[in-house]
Amino acid sequence: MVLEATMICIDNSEWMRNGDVAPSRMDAQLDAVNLLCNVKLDENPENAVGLLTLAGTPSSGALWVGARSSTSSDDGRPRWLGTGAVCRVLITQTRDPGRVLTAMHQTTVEGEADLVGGLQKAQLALKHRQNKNQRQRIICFVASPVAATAEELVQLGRALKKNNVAVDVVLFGSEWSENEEKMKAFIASVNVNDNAHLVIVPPGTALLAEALMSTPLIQGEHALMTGSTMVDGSLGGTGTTSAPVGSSGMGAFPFDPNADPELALALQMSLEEERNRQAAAAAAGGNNTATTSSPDRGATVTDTPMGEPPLEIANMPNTDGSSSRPLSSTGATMDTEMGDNADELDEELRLAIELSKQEASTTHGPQREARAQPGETEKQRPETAEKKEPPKGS
Amino acid sequence: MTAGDLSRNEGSGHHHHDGCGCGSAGSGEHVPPADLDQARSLQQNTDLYAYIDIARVTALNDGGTASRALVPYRERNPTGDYVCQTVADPQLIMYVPFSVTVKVTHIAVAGPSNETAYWPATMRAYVNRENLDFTSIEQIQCSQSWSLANTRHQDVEALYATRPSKFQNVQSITLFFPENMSGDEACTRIEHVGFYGTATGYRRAPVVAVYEARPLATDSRSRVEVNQKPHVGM
Repeated sequence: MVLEATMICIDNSEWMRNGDVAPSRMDAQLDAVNLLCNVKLDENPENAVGLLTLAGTPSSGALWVGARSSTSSDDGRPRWLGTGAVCRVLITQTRDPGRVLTAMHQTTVEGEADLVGGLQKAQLALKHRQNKNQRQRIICFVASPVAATAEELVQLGRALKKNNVAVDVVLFGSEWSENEEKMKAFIASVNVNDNAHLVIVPPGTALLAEALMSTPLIQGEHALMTGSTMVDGSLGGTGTTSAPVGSSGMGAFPFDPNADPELALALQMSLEEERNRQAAAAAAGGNNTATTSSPDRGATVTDTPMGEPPLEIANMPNTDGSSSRPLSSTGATMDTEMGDNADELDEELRLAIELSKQEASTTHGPQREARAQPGETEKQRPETAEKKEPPKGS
Repeated sequence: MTAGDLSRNEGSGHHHHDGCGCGSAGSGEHVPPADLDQARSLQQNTDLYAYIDIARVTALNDGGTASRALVPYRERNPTGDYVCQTVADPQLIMYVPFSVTVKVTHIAVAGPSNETAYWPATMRAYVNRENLDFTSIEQIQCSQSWSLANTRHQDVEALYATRPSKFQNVQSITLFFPENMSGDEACTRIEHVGFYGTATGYRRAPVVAVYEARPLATDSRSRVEVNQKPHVGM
């Protein structure tokens, strides 16, 4: 839940008309920008997103007359007619996704991209953000050959690093290999504690927006990819080092972990316990390990909110002697489990209470007694949850 | 910035130690023990760490490490390595807000004990200024500036006295270190930054007031008062 102000730089040069990325580079890019914008604004209610275009013709409605970029050639036009910078800020930092969308759809494909000028303008826009507590981030889409030299980019990167601005670059389109070296040098010069990423999406592998979902741009601290990432056909991406996290768009959880951190933590702990249990069961075998670990799971889920009855019912210690049901994180399996034992719930409740009282008095150690308390308080929640269930089902 | 600002800080009550670079004391002079004890007791008794609003401390060009340099006097490691290192170049801006209004009498800065090339060479303090970055900080006048020493005597680090008039009602201090000792090294390293002084206890916060739209008899304490005639006084 990082509080962040983001400037998204859109490449709207003529190279965006190309159809190598379906349906066209520009459309794919706008989809990706839409996704990014929504993710950033959902992460934290005080986040802000702004938009700027990297390309355009200088005279296209721009009031800006500034210093000419060093890479453009002299075309003999009088300076006062606006032979200035091409980058334009479409919308400054805003918390309203609708405004960003409107501004996004006003982009036209024209001209050549000026990456250095665009990044400098983005830095300036971030410097004047209204909430100074927000961190600064620039996300830049590049799909045209970069005219700036590597030295210019590295110098710019150092200036951005000095001002605590994090930068992410997304290279897509067929010319990505030409830009790769320069962008790598740039990201290396901007990077501080792995807050800068270079994501390369070669055309034809995946939809740009979907490809971005597994990268650190969207996942932030959940993804364990560092440095440059090449996205291949699978959504997992190469270079991922974590096991279950990152396998789907939102990580291992089918909901937004940031919206409900308690539930996310509880699920994570349950998953770990389950993994330990299965490892122990595979090694030792038998019901002993199964029954001892089930009060653990009951204890770890005590702080889940009331509105999650399927999860709690699935975690009820099972007393009919068979090995406890493995906890799964998908909703579908939990629903079927709930359907199975909805009838035997009252009996199970009583048996569960007896079991936890038994466990409390056995020699399994003092921690069992401590866990008996949460086990007993938890029994009341399934009761009320169960009362909620029939009215919901009817 | 006047010329006086750039030179070594003068004034009474100034504590400095061995090899501090001050024009008066040459390096290698032995500092009398009384001075050291005075400095030590000052650092122990007037530490303003408790009043620093740590959550709101920010810095530029530090890579997120500047808040580690702010520790209570007792907890710092006197022979320790640096904890804060700049990333892009040797300049560093550190913004330190306080939770109450304070009077700062001394500021202490120490770099890593064995690498004096990395120590900051100059320090400029800006009082009660918010949101300074490297371009805007060049345009405004600092409250005070010091040339820093590059040694530390035993466990007592160099203390730099502040001019009292400027550091009376301090809500926040921004420290700017424009260069390091060597001029060649690519970064500046800091081990500890300390502020010493007194807290006045005034807090800047919005006033919470409840207004009475209409006086009610039941709100007053005793019924006897209600029945009395209104009178002036008391």
